Amino acid sequence: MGELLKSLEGLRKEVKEKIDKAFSSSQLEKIKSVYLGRKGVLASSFKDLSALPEEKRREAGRIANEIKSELHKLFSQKQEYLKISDRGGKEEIFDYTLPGKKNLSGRFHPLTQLSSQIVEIFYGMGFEVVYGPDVETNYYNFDALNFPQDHPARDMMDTFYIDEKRLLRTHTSPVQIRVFEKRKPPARILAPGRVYRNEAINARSYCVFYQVEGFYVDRDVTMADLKGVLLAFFQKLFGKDVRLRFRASFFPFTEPSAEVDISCVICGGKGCSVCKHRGWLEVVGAGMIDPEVFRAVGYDPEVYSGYAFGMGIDRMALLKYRIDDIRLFWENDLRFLRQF
Amino acid sequence: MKASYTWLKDFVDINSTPEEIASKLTLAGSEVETIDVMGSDLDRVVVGEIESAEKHSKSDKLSVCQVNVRDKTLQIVCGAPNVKEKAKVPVALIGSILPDSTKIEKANLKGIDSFGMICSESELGIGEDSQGIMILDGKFSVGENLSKALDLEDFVFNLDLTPNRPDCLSILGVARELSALLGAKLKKPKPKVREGETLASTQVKVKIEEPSFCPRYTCRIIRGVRIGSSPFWLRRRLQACGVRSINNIVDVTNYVMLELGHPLHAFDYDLFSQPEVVVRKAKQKEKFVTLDGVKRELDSDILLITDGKRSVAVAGIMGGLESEVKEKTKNILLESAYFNPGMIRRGRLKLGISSESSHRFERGVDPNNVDFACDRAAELINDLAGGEVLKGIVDNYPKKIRAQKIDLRTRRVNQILGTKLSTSEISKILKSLEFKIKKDKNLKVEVPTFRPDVTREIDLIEEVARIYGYDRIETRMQASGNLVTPMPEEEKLTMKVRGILGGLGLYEVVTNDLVDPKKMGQVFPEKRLVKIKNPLSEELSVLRTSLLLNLLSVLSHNKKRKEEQVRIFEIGKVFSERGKKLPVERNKIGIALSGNNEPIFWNKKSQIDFFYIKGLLESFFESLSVDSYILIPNSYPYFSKDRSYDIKVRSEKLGFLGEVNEKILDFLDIKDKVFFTEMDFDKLLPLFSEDKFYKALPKYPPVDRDIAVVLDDGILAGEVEKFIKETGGEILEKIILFDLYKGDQIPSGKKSLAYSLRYRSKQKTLTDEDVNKVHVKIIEVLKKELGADLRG
Ligand SMILES: [Zn+2]
Repeated sequence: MGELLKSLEGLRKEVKEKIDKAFSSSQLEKIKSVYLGRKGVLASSFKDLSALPEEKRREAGRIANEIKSELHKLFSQKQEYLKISDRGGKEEIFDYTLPGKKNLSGRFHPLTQLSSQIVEIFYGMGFEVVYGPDVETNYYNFDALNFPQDHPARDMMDTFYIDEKRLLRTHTSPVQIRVFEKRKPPARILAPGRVYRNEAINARSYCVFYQVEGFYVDRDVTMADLKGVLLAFFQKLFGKDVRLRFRASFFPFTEPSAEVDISCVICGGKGCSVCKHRGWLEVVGAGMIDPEVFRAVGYDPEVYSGYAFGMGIDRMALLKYRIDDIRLFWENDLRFLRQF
Repeated sequence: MKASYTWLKDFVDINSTPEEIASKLTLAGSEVETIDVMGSDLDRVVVGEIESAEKHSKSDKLSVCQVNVRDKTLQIVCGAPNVKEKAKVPVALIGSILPDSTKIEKANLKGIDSFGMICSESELGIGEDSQGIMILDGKFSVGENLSKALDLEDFVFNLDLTPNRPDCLSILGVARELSALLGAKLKKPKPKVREGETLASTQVKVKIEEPSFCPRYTCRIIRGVRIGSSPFWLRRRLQACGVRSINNIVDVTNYVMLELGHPLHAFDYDLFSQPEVVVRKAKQKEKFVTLDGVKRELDSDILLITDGKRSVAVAGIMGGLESEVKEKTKNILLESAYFNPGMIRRGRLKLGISSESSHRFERGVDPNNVDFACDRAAELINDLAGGEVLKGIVDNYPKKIRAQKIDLRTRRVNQILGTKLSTSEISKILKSLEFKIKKDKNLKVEVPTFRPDVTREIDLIEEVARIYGYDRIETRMQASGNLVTPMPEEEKLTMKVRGILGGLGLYEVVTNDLVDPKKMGQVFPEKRLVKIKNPLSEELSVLRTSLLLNLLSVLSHNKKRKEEQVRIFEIGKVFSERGKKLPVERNKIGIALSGNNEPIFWNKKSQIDFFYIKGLLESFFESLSVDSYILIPNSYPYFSKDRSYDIKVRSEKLGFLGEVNEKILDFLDIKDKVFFTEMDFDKLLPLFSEDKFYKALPKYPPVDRDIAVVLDDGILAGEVEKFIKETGGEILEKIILFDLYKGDQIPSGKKSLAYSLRYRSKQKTLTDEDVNKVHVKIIEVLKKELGADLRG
């Protein structure tokens, strides 16, 4: 008997839902005939009752009748309501199901959306936003940032040159130098912008991308502060559960240098195809600003120390929105943009 | 760089799994990208012994072998020429899958059943030899798993090294890192060279003409070697590290390079025209044929190894074709030298070649490891190819490069890292990396010469941090300080503009600054193009001078994908060249519209027209509280002649607006009308202000009056409005045009404009009389100035 009651209860729910969703009288009539008609689903359930033993049959019959009358009541209520609506309350038909008159709605590009989100987070942590030119000199892009002449470190970034002295910046780090030349510490700066790399265009890399560089110079800034600021940032961006991993690395303008990985935002660190089953995603290059950089701008490295970090926004957007082809950002297909 | 796990174990005791090792190396800066597992795929390949081999009755090439694999004897038909009785061979049993994914099944070859396969090295994926089956020399027990028997199981770490760490371009260097990270002792090889009686120095003289380019040159001479193939263990290690086996001599030089990180070169000494090595700069345009058979033109930035008459190698980059060790070579000159890293880099960039050798020299090898590497190679050559190693190493090292000594302050370490390390902890870490500590109070650190990257106190601090572990440094979360960090006006305005345009239903796009100069020339002709010297392609070789081309391209892309309505904007930079200085960079707002002007609605559909984009501009300025703007006709080559305007605000030209002309639309294959405007973001900046002050709301009621005038069609509505405004004066609050009529009811060549005027005074409630005075005056002025007739 338990099973029969269960199926009656299921039927009740099912019919109730159908009644709710019906938006026209003709629809409602169809539902009524399928479920409550002479040969309807409910009628056949009543037949099953007869197979039950006497005392159970009585109990089940009572419940079944209750359901039947409840459903009938719901039908007539809805019928009444739809009648009014169909007629718009008057004689003329008012078809409210015709499409509405929409207002236009715009979209923001996913890269600028993420970029402004990042700017906002750092702004909230006391960073000032500063811009620099996209076309830079060799001096600001490399020399002042301690890239030695005739050293393979120069191969780390494939560069677009305009002539011997001028190039498209390969990172937003030149903004560091431009700021240091103009001010005295303390300085806590965020430099967002476009950067350029002379790399073949494919699903994983594009010749232009957005980068955010952040740096902080003051007395007694330590690597522990760098670890703190990045953890705070990523927890704000990806949630409290995100973990960070700092690995030793090399950049000419920082010493010590670090690559920073975040626990995979897709699998949480268990390993998946996005993180290549490592559980970690490489997202930031960072480190303590090299004393040579301070010397180049006339800061005393014995007095001041500082950290710097840089991250590619495009790459982060790939992760955040789970996009598998970076070129989509630059193609601007409306069907793509509409998703953000 | 590839490093074999078993090879590393030669130099340091490892109890950790390959994964643990990989993680430790990665965290300390030698990133392990992947681990290749070797030998595990051969689990059903065993050692077998050929008991008998008979010719196949139907084929000359096939042999029918009975092969003992301990628990049974298998009949195997084999096609190799080197099948012989009593030979021990690798046998792939039925069911095994070889590395090239061949599945071994029971087969029938010309009528005879075969139960397995006798394999060659290349079939097993453990060598390049595919000439015949692999013959296992030495003690192997029949039936034993081949991977176990040959010690094939290995893990290869694929390391992605940073350019500052040449020391890690060797097994020994990686082992040194591991010894520091694991706290295990480093076991360095100790070469023992069995030397003959003859002094090497009597057989060769070394002359260095450029000691700054070649600070040290050593060599040994080995006579009477037998060139042959290398033993399996050596080939296996080279293969694991991705190096092809050539012959025993070349293999040894590669082996020692991989092991110790020092590139070596072996010359066929009989091809020297005299017993001399002269290291000199190449002459301008001097020609030389390198190992790869290419004739190259050199210059004075390139160093040559010569015999005093003929050149034999481009120093540190590539050997010469002529002096290469060949099958018939008997006497060898083994070179081990130290070349200036910058010189090698300039040279290989000029020549456009890169070798394992130049890769290491360019990053800096250890000048004081030169003789050690030479000895190690001589020992191995002697072991593998016999011959006599002449007595002594010829070493030309005019000015010894000494280890640097650096002071290291404990306080400074902790100041940079935010740690609380003690002097003894620091000193222990540095010692584990083979740095020598002189004084234990304020540390004086002697940096080994294999670490050219460590030259300053800060570099030592990084070493301490690396080995101590970045993960053990505290993560200090602090409340932000009280720095004044204003948000720049540009950023604020950008956000505002994006918000407004998004609110007006536009899609924001982001496009490449690099564009095609041909297209740019067609669409937006501009002389001061910033050109890229080394572009990815001609299509991406100049910086854009306007957003027009980019936005039209996006539009075209989407139109081709059946998007009826394309309404897009971009805020981005444009560039123009101005000689040697940095180019001018201006931020622009570009808007392009095409297609329907509203979302498709079932009872109406209309296309974007001029008044649509004008209205959009009006809404845009209204939202920015920019009060007065005007359009002034101007002729732009990309717009239709009669729909081409400048946008002016407060007599400053802010940008331009118009309908893109058909020539350009045809060029970009766009079928629909397109309206475009570009405004200078930087000029908009001073017009934008967040300082806003309240004006009292009107206290008195307004009076509305309509006015309809008929005038010549040629008179612009703007003129009419101008006269109304001027005449209306202070009490005229608002003018709205509510009807424009041309047609039967008025004379041809005329139009009727109907305005609704709203009057209001700040001081009092206006009477009819007050309003009439002004209203009548307006009518009079319109009659007089524009010849207007009052209508209806
Ligand atoms: Zn994952």
